[in-house]
Amino acid sequence: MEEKAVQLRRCEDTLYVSGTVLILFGLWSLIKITLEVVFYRDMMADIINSMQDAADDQADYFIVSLTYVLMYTAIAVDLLIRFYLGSRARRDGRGENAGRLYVGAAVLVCVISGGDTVRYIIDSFRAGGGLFSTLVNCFVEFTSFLVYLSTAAAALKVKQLRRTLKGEV
Amino acid sequence: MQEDFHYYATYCAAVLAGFSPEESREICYSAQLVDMCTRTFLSGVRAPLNAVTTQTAMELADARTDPIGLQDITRIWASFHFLPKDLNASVRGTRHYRNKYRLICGPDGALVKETVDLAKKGGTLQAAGLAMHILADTWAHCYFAGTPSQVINDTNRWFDELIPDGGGYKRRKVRFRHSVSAPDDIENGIYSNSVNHYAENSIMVLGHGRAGHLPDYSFARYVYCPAWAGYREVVKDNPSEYYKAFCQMIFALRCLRGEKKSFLTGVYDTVTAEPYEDDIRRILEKRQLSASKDWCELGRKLSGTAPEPFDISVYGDEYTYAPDSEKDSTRLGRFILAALAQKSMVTNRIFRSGSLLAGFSAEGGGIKDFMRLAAYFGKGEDI
Repeated sequence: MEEKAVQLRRCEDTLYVSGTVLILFGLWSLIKITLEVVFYRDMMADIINSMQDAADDQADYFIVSLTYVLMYTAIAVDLLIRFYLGSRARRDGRGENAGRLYVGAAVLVCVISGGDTVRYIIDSFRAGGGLFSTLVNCFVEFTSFLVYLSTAAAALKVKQLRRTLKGEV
Repeated sequence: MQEDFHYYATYCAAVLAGFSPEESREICYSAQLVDMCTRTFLSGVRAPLNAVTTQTAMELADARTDPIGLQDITRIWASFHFLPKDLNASVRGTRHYRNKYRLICGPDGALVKETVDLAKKGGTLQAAGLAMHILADTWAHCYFAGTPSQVINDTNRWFDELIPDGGGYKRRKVRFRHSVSAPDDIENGIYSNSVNHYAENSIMVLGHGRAGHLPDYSFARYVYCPAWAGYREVVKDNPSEYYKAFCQMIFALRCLRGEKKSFLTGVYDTVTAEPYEDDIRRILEKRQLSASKDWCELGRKLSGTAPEPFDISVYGDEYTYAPDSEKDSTRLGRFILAALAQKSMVTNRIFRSGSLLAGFSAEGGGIKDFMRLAAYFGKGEDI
């Protein structure tokens, strides 16, 4: 029983750290997007204007606008998911009540993130560009996936160990 | 440990070991002086700064944490407050980690015997007092190392106090806060500890800083996961361990008085302490920030008199104004020699174990302080 208690503490610690890193990654994404919007504002405006010019009619213009709305919504949702998973993982790692939903969400996001990471790496190398920046971007994406994986694995293990210890007691 | 044990309890142990009240006062004064002998104090009395036995928070804030600075810190704290238990301990990890692991303090280690034997060689009451401080601290500061190390000294959220509840104990989570001025709230389990800087060699992870003052409270019983234990829980039962420390001090002092042939670790003079065991355990178990008053009363009961409140300035003038040739025979001079000898010995043992955490150690001759020690202990003798 002592061994299982040791394992549980180790997994709870991993969960707490992974949750913290998830939140930090979310904050980093937010900073990155903000910097891009601030420093590439003119370039963004040119792209929007050229796309609007290219739109032949109201329907195309509507689709372009909708695309932008959906894009920023997706970014916001991604950030919210990171913050939600990160905060719940931290709570669970501290032994507080974190609900059951976040474990399933962590596993799902981990799977999606895995596929997305593979796609990103392949596309980055296909697209070319600077080798160093490509490698760095791929490294960051892969690290992000590992954090999701770590969170999901630790969350499942913690649930299992708590059930086992409760049964033994 | 704090003044209540180092000063007043040591006085009681010395009386029980057969020393006169006057001799016991000298011993307990030196025991407490180990916690007060800073570079600031030594420079005030114009004494060698190498004899420093402790550092204040301000001095630590100014201390360097480069390799040279860390060696200086380790030499002080490992020699006087966190005597390593086993310099040959084996543990999985890098050599650097192993060297730090080997500095973990604990009672009944080989260095405790060497410390008492060194005090016997010194032959002074001041050396005896210094040795008693170090011996007592091996019990209180168990499981911590006298070097800044996150991977050894850090603690985490698994820190529970064991509160007596009926026949057993109930666990109560310890709440740590970072407040220099607010006293510990022992009724509600709120204690001050050092802030975590998440740096391996930060001053904040020196000794038991991350556990706050808990190891120094005689009433404290707690369960926690030290960083070196790999998420395993360690139980610290201060009332029981402090009693052993007290009995071991009686035995050590009887050896130093010449009544016993030689000091052995693992031997505790419970027979001599037994008539007063109830009083001692009552003092140790009482939840209070300082047990000085209770120990002082016990000292008065044992000897008919009690030591005056500790005053660091008492012997300063005697040392400062003594001629150079007579400084070493003053009370403070004898304490300084004992401190230099102890520091040399511990630094040498750490160096011999293959670790440079306390710096290099000269085996013979060379530095000014060592020559002084060689003259003090007799030329050619190994310290």
